[in-house]
Amino acid sequence: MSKRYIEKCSNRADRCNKMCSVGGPIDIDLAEGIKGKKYRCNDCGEIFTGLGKHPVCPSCQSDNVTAIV
Amino acid sequence: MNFPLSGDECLLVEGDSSFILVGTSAELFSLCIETYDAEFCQTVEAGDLIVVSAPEGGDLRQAWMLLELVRTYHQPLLVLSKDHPGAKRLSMVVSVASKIVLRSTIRRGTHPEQHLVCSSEEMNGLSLEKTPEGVSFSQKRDDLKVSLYRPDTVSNRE
Repeated sequence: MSKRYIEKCSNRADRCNKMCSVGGPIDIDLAEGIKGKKYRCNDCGEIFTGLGKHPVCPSCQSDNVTAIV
Repeated sequence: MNFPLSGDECLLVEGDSSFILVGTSAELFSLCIETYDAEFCQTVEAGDLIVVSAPEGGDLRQAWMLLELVRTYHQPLLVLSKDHPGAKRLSMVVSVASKIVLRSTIRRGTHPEQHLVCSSEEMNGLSLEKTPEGVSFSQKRDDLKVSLYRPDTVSNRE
């Protein structure tokens, strides 16, 4: 292996220690997770899990939706 | 610190070895977030932030394309499972929300929560929030270079 190649790998390893993890042990667990609510679109009938206060149908982009249990 | 953004303008925030590209949504739409066993449809409102993070730097055109895939074409976001080997293949990641915090302590491409995006350590903790005019930063960072970025200049920049 050339010296230049070794230096390149060393620099890359150094950078990897200073960025978000790509598979190593460092990670945080998010306690809240991700929770959605089920909706049915009154225009096209699509059923989907929506996030946020103003759900919009992913199929027809209508906001005429109803929450379902 | 407030930065006005209009139309398809983007804000480029550069550190020594990484950057983020920030754009805003022009319209209301439903953005699908796909995990290994579920689909969540997040409502994106006009003015919400679309942030592409390149923790190792890279080609700005790639970041801009990724941003446009979401902003213009409403491309669903794919979320990898926690230990998925593909995480190491992702050189850039994207998050869409009204407020986004950059974190260097999360695993790339594996968090569906859109209020977080993985970043390099030099950008860790930076918080971005949408404003009526564009975007605001939570803190002034002299170590980061901020510039306005227009798509027609992309081909001239690396």
